[in-house]
Parts: sequence; structure tokens; C-alpha cells
Amino acid sequence: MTKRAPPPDASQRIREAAQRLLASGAVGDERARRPGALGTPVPVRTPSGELNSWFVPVAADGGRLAAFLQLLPDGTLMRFSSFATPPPAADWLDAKTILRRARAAQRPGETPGRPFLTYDRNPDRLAWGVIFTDARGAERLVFVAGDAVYSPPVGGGVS
Amino acid sequence: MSIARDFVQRIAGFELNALRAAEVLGEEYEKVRIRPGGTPIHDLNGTPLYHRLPLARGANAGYVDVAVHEAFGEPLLATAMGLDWDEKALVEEGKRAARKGRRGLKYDRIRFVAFSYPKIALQFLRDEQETLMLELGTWTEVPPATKRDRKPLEPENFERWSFLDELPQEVRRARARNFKKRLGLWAVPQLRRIDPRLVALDTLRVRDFAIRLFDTRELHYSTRNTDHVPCYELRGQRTNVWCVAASVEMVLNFYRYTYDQVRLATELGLGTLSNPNGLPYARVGDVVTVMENLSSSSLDVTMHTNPAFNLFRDEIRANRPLISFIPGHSRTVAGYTRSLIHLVNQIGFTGLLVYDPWPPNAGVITRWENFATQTYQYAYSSVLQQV
Repeated sequence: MTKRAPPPDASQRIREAAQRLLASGAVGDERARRPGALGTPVPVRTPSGELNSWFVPVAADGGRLAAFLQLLPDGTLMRFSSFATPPPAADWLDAKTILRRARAAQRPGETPGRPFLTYDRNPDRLAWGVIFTDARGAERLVFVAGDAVYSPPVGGGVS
Repeated sequence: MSIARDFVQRIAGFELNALRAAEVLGEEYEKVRIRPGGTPIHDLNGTPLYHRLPLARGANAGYVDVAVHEAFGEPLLATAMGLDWDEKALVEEGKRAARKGRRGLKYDRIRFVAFSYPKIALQFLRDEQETLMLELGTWTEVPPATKRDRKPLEPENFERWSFLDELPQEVRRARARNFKKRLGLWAVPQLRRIDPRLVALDTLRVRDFAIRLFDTRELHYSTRNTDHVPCYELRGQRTNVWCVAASVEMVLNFYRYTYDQVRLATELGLGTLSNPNGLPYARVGDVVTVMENLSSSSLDVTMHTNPAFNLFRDEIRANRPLISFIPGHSRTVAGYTRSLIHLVNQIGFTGLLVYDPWPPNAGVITRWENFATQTYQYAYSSVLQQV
């Protein structure tokens, strides 16, 4: 899998675009508009490693994740989504926490790679991807979405 | 109906200020001044169509096109900053190009013509008869009209055609109504003392005047606007493949039917909690039969393929939630928004309020999902038949 790095200033541009969207009042809520609520944008990659969009977290009190914006690479808004019950921010933002979760699906002899934010079939279904490699070099993808850890479903369909 | 020439600058000002207030126009328009004068642009048949007025902010220049003919439906046609509009310089340049191409050219008048809207040309006239037409900028001669067997509004490349003559009558009538309505908005007494020639974020913040920038609606207890209490709840999907069960649960809950996802998964053939599966595309129609069965046919459910925004809007206006299938996933829709002020020929923002069962065991409420950035495969509407 190739993971091309976004331009160095892309993260800052996306953060500014998110700030502008929130300031305009078109999306977001009071919590998202509070100073310092907006976190560092995280690139969302396609399962093959290309940049698909950006995930911009909105923090809540107590180290929780209140909401997020998802923006296209050109800064176009895809959505502003909020959690009814804010989960721990680490579930979505901390690589160590995500990796620890992913290890629940680890098979004997497998080594996990670095987690990357991706999606399961549709960019609406955000999930962290961890690639496990076995002793023969065979790779296997595991998704971590909040507290759910699973392998990509077999076959198509709506799920 | 058309706008009088001296009124054009004022209308341009109100329109630009409204777009600025909605932040459709960005910072580059703050404190922009609309300069007087402007250039009338005519239809090929000679009728004035719109005016192009120069804009200025310090050294930065731009222009705005304002319709004076009702056939456009809305007054503001286009605007740009960074592109200077200098009528005199263009006419001089056009004259030089004309002299180069035709030494003995005679004319007593020059006018700007939308020879193939929005393409503009300079028309040289003598005794009101055209002697030459040059496309603006390229200064290429626009060939005379030839009889062509084609549908209206489908011109060939570089063909001259009349915007007004080719616009279907029913479209013209509908647009005329809209145009009149929009001009009426700017004629209200509260705005009489406003000078709109300076564009600013707060120009239209006037007492007792509120411009409606968005059309927004969410599900609530009734269709009465005065009692607007949202009444819709989010359900997270209980497994990573049960988005359809969670979506059906949300809509049935709205109608006060209580089925949990385990039961719904059984009905929909989605397996069990320990061995779940998604809904194969070959069985997307099952959503209709399961919802109708579980509501004892009180709900009349319809599956829509490639649903347009208007379907979501109309259902929400009728206070009915929808299930929305996008590639590989299902969610429900409980509201919509759309901007009412935008540039002609440009799509304003349209968004959906989505109750999304993803991520598992949590879900998110998306306010708003940009309709232009998602692919909508199927939608399911449900109409209550009996109570």
C-alpha cells in the first residue's frame, strides 16, 4: 500500500477552512465554535492509501470527542457530525489506543503496522485501518471503529 | 418587466450585500464599492439584457452582471473580483481591431451584445443595421446567422443566437414571476434609507428586516411550525454490518413501533449478533416488505432509486423520515437545508440532516451532510395509512 503524504501546509489550510465554516454559522454548534475546540486535522485515506478527505476533530470536556468535520482535500465541506454521547477522544485520535484495540484481532505470528484513518467501503463509515503482516509476508486489514474491531466483511451489500 | 437603468446600481448593491451576508461571497468582497455607470449588454434582437457594473476596492477591481430583463428570473447573474471591466478601453481596442480587419468600415454606433449568452461581442451599427460584429477579447468576426435545423438553446460553436427568442415561453413566464418577487424584496420600506452601494457583511442588518437565507426543516411532532420540537432519535448499529437494521429501527421508532435490532435482523435476514451479515443488493426490496409487515401495513413504504434532493425535502416537509442507502451503507434522514440566495446558474448549498448508525454502538448525527458530495443510491419513504 502506498501512502502519499499530503502537502506540508495542507493540514493548516484544512483547519482554517474548518474554522471559516464554523465561524460562518452554516454548520457546527456553540461547542465547536469555542476557542481551542478544533483539533489537528487527520488525513482520511482510501483503503489503497490515497488521500480521500480530512477528519477535523472537535473536542469536548474531559478528553472526549464531541464532533468532527469531514472535508474534501480542497476544503469543501462533506459533513459536520456530532456524537450523542461523546466517546473518549483517544478512541479516535490516539494511535496507541487504536493499536491496542486492533491487537484483539491479532493472529499468532502477525505483526501490526501503523494505524491509518480510512473507511470501510464508504467515506461515511470512518474507521482506523491496521494492517497485520504474517511471517510469510501476507497482509490482512483490520478495522477499528470506536469500540468495534473487525475484518472487512466478505462480499458486497449494505451494512 | 425590466429594471430602469438608474435603479440597476441599487439592485446590484442589495444582491451583493445579501450574498455577502450569507457569506456566499467571501472577504474579498468586504468594503467593495459598486461604481456608477455600467455597460448595457443587449440581446441579439436588440433588447437590453443586463448591465455589467465595475467594482472597486482600492487597487482591486471586479465587476457584477445585473439582469435588467425578467427572462433571467433573478437579478444577479455573475460577479468576479480580480477581473477589471473598462468599457472605454474595450471599445477602443475593438475599434482598432475593426480598422485592421476592414479598412473602409462605416458605423455610427457601437453596442455590446450577448451574441451567444454569456459570450459578448461588440456590434458595429450604421443606421441601426449591423456592419460588423467582433467577439470581445479575441476580436474574431462573429459570422452572420444561418438557418439551422436544431433545437432551441442548443447552439453550435461560435453560432450567434438570441437568448430571448429561444427561451421557451413557459420558462420565461415562470422566471418573470420570480424576478418580480425578488425585486419586491428590495422595495420594502425598511430598506429605503439604506445605501447598498458599499458591500459589507452588516449592510442588511436593519431593524425589522430579515432576509431568509436558508430553507431548513427537521422532523417534529406535527407540521405546525409554531410547535417545533424535534422528535427523532439516533440508534447506533449493534454490529459492524447492521446499518439497515438500525435504520429501520429508527424509522419504526418514529412511528412508535418498538423492535430491537436483533428482531429486525431476523426479519431482514441479517443473521444473529454472534454471526451477523449485511443486506445483499439483490435484497434491497426486503426493506419495503419488512417495514410494511412489522407495521401491519399501517406504513406504505416505497423504494426510490437514485433519489434527488427534492424527494428528501418533500418527505421532510410532510414530517416523514426516510432511510437513505449510499454505497455500502444505510442511514436515515430527518431534515434538510438549502440556501435560498446564490448566483444564477450556480448551485447553492443543499444539505441533509442524517442520523447515521455508524460507528457501531454509537452513531452520529450529521448536521449537515453536503448533498453534492455524496452518492444517493436508494431512499425509502413511508406514509402512514391508518392510525
